Amino acid sequence: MSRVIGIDLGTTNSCVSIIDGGKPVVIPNTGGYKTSPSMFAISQDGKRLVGHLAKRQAITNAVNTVSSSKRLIGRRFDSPELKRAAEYFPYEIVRGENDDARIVISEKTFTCPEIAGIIVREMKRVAEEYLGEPVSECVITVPAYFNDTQRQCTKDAGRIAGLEVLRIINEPTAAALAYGLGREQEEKIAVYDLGGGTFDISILELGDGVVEVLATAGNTFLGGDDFDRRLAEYILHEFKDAEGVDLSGDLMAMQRIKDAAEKAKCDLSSLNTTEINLPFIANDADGARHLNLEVSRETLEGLVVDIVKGTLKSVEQCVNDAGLSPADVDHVVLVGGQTRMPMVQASVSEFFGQRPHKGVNPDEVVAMGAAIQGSVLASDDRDMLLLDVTPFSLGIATFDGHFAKLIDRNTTVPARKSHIFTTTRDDQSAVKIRVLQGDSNVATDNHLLGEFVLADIPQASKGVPEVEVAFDIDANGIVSVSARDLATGKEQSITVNATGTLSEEEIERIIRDNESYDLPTAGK
Amino acid sequence: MRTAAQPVPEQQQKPQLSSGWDPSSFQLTPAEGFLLSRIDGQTPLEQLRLIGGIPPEEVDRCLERWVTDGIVVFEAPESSGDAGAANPEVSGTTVDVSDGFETGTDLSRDEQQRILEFEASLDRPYYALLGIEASADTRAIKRAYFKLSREFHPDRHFGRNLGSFAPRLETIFMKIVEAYELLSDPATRAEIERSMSQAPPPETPPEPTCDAAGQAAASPEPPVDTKRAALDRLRRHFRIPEEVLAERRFRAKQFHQSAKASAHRGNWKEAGASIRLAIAFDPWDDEYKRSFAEVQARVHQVRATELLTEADASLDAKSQQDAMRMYEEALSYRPCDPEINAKAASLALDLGEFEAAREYADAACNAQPACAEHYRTLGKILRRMGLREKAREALNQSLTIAPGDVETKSEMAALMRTRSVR
Repeated sequence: MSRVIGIDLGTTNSCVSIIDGGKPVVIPNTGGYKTSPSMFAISQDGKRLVGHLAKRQAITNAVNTVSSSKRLIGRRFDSPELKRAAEYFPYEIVRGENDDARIVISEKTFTCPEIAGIIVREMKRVAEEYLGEPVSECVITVPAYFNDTQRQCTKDAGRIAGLEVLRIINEPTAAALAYGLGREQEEKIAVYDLGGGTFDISILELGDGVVEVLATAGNTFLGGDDFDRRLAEYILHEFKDAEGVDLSGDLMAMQRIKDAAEKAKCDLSSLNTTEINLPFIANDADGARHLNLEVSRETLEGLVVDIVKGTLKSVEQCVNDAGLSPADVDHVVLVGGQTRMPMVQASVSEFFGQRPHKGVNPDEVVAMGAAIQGSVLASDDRDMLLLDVTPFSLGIATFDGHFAKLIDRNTTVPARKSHIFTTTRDDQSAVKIRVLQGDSNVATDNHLLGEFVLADIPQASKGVPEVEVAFDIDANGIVSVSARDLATGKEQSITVNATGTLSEEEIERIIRDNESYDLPTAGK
Repeated sequence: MRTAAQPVPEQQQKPQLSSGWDPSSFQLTPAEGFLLSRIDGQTPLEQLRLIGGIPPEEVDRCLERWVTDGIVVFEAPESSGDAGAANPEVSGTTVDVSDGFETGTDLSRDEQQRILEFEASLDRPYYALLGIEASADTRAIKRAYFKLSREFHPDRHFGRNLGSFAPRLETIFMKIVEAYELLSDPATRAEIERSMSQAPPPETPPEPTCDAAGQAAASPEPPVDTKRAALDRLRRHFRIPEEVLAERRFRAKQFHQSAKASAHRGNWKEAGASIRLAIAFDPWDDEYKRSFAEVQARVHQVRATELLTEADASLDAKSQQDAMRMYEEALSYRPCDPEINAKAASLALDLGEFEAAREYADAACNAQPACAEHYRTLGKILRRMGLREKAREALNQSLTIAPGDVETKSEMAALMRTRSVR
């Protein structure tokens, strides 16, 4: 039986792991790195590049290099998050057929699942090279706060890469699985996951090989990228003040500043000050200009303090949702590269009144957890069990525009709930069921998952017919909704196919397209 | 039955009368007597709740009391729901699950057997379902939940061909989650314990007009949350079929008719008993309740009058204590009756129980302010209590109503004398 790989498909970096000798092992890529940049590029000479190769040429080829595409996946083109991202990304984003966002590089249009699929395929290749055998199944992680559409898109990415996705699991949950493996004691842990593009907080309970998610919260549009951006904007501003030159229109300069900002940010996690040196950043009538700037840790902290404090609001909500107080949490696990920042660690320590657990590598633990879940699902050796929850409430829109929740967020899956609704007009013959995901009382503020019509309701006065609407979430997180007229027994049901995802034909076309590309090896 | 450790008796369990109890030693209402007469060791609890002549929850309360008193015993349950709630396994007999086995799945016969058995006993009380004691703490509940999850979570068999066992596992797991969630929340746990130690609360009548649960009107009303729903399910343990309801309504009407006849003849007690039965058979009809209130008032009046007569007889027999007790009982039926209050006041005064006497006299004065005699009695009592000013007021009031009353005048004079002595 082929082995199941666990893939942490990150905003900035991705990582792949496998169970070897009962323990999760992170697989290094050809260059020896345990993580690979989640980047894809088409070079000037038309070659497709992934990972480190893509990153290395990003400065000179910014417009044709895709990074942080996870921030776009499963989002509508018109969404405010997407507008914000589009301002900052050097590559072109266009509206797709399903109102999704698509990426244009080298005059070729890519869907987001396709880009993600290319990165997953690279991780698959890394694993196959290490194992010396083909791999066909995987578990992929997503931020806990990803909605159904985003999850579906990630699943599509797996298929595009030629993998069967056994399960999509939440990143903090995966981290908890890796943390909990081999631990005997019963404990409650908090996983604070601040990655490149997303922030998640989950409270979990461990014991007897079971990992139970008590509550989860987060923000899918907040992460290390935002720290980089704040610092880059600062650098830009300082340079303009000092030299009177605005570099924001210069793509290559921007890419260099972005890179330098990311590097400076990392340096400032261990140093108190760092120097940014970007020679020949601009050329004008006065000759070459160089960017020399000293940045202190304090400066950086001042730039991002509101973001860090903002995460604590989610943490508080999550702890409340779990029915706990911060002191009830036995251990705090930090996940994601951004948690290396001393201010993040200090804020989390302060909130929970304890120093975070040091035993896990924040960049690798998520992939390891995915590998564990993969082996739990695929082998007979089932030491761990994950009791997962739905991150959002599910329900339907009512005639007056309200959102009637049927399944509350943080409900353990699988779950099934039903409720009886009725008509609002005399002799109403059909009801439209609009399935929503979210937590706002106003229907339109929530994410529309799908809709269907229950027709042929016998003539009756309003309020008389009884329509039972049942929600079903299976262990895979697949939502199906059915509506049944209790008088006639007539039933309508749908398996919710998230709006804004790719059609079957499209996925197949993409798979065919990609088969012709043999991606060059990443790394050195 | 009071301890939470004992589960709700199974609906199919048949209560029977224990040998060697003396019916005459128990005070039973006619309705209770009727119920008791239906307990024959053959009729299951489910039936008794329908034919007992009183509302189902009342039946449960009676049976609970009688079990405590040792009048009634329950035979051991036939299948699941062993009183030992600590036993998670289906006790004793094996549930007949032979039909459920499937060939062609990846599950062994043992695994199938375990799943089928557990599924067949999902209706057990939550504690039994999780296999824990009613006294279990949160940790123990969580441990039990984790243990069962490891066994029944669908992921345990991921990727295997499960046939019809896939939905079975989902159902089992969801039930385990339900038990765990309800028991780990102190509020719902308390509610469960209450409904286990008492009986399920009354049902809403399943008439269309009252079918509140279903009419969510597409739907501004938010759906019931999970816990609520589970508790409701707990309550719907017993659903009365429509034909039984019709029968019960018919019986109720008959009793109401006979109550009216008794009332017409002036036999209020009989009328009261009949109407009580009518309400028991149809507790949802407000007319019966109104009639009952009327009849009840009459019954009380009759009883109070009887007691007064008895009290007078006791006084003749020089038994003041007995008479006092009867006045008190009569007052429990008619607390504002001036006659009874006045008599009680005079007697209490004679017995030297001034505080009580004053209360009765006050009540008599309030009920009949135009009666000089009541104020005179009050005045006498107050004088004995040393409340001279108040006594004077009361006596003056009495003299205002009946200026010539010799007894009141002499009482007033006595009051004045005490003053002059001082």
